[in-house]
Amino acid sequence: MVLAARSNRASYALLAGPAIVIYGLVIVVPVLYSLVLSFTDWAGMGVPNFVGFTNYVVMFSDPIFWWGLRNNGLVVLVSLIGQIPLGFFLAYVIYRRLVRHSGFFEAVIFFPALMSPVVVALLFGVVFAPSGLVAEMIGRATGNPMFSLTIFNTKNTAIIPYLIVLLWMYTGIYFIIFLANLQKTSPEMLEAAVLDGASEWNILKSLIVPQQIPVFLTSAIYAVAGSLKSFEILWIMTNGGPSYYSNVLGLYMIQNTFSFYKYGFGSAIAIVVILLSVFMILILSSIAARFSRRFEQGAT
Amino acid sequence: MNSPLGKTFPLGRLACRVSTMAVAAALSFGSTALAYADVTLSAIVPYTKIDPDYGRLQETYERFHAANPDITINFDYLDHDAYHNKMQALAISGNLPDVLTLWPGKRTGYLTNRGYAKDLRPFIQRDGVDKMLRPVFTQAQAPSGDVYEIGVPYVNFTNVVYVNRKLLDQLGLKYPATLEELMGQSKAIREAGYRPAVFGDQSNWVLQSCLLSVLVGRLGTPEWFANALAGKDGAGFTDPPFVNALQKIRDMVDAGFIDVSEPSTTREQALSTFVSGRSVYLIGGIWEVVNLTSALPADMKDAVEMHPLPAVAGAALAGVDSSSGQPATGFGMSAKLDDDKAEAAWKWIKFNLDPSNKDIDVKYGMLPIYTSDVGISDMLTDPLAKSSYAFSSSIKDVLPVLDDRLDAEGVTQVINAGLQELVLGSVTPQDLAAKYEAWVAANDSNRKAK
Repeated sequence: MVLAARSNRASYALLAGPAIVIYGLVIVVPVLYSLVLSFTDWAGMGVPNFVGFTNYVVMFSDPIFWWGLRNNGLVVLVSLIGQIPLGFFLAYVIYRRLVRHSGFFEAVIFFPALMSPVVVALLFGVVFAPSGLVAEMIGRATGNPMFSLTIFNTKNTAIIPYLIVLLWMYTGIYFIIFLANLQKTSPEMLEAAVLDGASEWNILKSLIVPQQIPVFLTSAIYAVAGSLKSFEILWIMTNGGPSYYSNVLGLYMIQNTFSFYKYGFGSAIAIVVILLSVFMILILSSIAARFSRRFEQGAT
Repeated sequence: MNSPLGKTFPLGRLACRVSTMAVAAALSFGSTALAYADVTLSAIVPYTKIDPDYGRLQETYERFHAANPDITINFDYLDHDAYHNKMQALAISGNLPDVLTLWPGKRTGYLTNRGYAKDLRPFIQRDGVDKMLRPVFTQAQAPSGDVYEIGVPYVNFTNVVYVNRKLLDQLGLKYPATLEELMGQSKAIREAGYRPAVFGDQSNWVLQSCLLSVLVGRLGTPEWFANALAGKDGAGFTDPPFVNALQKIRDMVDAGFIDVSEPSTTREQALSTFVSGRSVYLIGGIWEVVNLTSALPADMKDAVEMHPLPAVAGAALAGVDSSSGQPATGFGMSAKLDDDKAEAAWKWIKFNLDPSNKDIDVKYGMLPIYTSDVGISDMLTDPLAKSSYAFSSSIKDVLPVLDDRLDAEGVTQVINAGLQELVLGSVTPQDLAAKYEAWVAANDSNRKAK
């Protein structure tokens, strides 16, 4: 028995060891390193000085941080209540063949996700420019050749074009995830439901959605993590401006770390982003667990 | 001693001594020549082989090496950001290259402020280089008066008003003498369906670099600016020259000269608006000549004029022969170089600014300016290049560019972002000035140096 247990432990160590070591080196060590750096004033060179919580105090008293956090919140919201539900809805429509030429729509919906973020940023930069495509169309429609799009000029609305781009670009990812999972649904079960006279709404509510809850959870975790770290499209599209109106935490971190050589401060922002991600993912997990229990109880 | 060689011995000894001395001298000379032949310098430049500067460097070096076969320079090429990152690491590890590419302002302060670069003043004064260059190229680059770099004597002017003269004529207007008149033209231009001016400030440094700097430079005296930088004699950025410069920008918005869409307009969009004849003025740096040369239709090149900003009411510098700008990047040398290497590095630095190489500079779009005419205008055929050279030559006072003299963080996060808010009407000139002064007082390295 003892020998067998030892042999089991050795097998586990042999099989899991390399993965744990790689995970530790790639994820745990950099996070711990960032945590240590966040308490220093390291400028990318020289010996870092310990500054305690100064970086965190400065960050939490900076209005750009709070505005970036607000914008990140909107990005998360668009992902959670925009991209995922829309992706699911479109996948359901295609899966249930509620439209004709579903192959064409599959390609069209997924296509934006295949595009380079740089190309998308440049494209929509032109679309939403003050004298860009949207302004040109409105100008022609209203007979005002000097019409200029002012959506960026207001602090509260400057982020909206970016949110539209995110919705357009990433809905296709969730669409494909849901479509792949919907195709695993037993056709016999659906046939039985139809024969029993279940409406489309009842099929969706009572058969499809409960099965997709783990997929919703996985997508939500993916969306939250991606939303908090994304900045590249925004960087090219608006550079966080005008002023800091469309800034997000990822861009705020990049600017401080690499433009102003504040590696300690940048690390503090990174730690906050990580903590926020973990916190939100824990909340999502608990919500999903509750939903799963409810449906399981409902099923029994 | 009476040997037959008796008389010849002294001669032989003399011959021996002479030959010994000759050999010694030859060896000595040889060793010097050998040492000089062995002078090999290392250098890193902040551009890659696809950059036009690479071609200019190659041609200049080929000519230099032909004239100085005893000096070899091994160049390494890095992208701009990679250059700065690597140079910081090399400085810390004590492995800086012999020849440094340095900025005259704060960009390479991590080297010049920390004693990694040699002061070139002894070489400059010894060889009289300052006599052939305008003062801006040999002015102090540190509070101590040190000069760390000199490059091709070319100023990157950041304030040039490009004028579509055809459009101006069509509207019955003339290039104005004062800033107030310039603003006053906005209404007529807008009523005719055109944009008065475009900047393209989405990247957020344009209004600061290409407009605020020249206004601050003209409204304040150089002494005031130096004092405000150092926080001396109670001077600071809440003083009238700075606040009034911000107010002028706000006035330009109110007059309709600066459009509120500027903070979300890219440089490319601004350039496109100007080139397509939809705006009368384009305000930008002298580097736009390159973009305009390739973008403007042939018939429009003659119609584009380059002017300095019109006179500003209440300015300490009342004339119009001033613009903000900074000398181009140039070469310096590591503080660690011994005499032989330092002399060789200086030969290379001096060779780069020698008027005899002006053909290479002109070929690559750099139009150097010297204290005397070296015949550059005769070499130019393109109308825009001619205008560019005439503009550069006409500027007497080169005013400081804010982001060249103050810490990037404060300029970017407070001034650049604040200027966009000023245009959008979210902040007043006084509040922005107070916010910036608070930042500078607490953080800027110029104040800390004090």
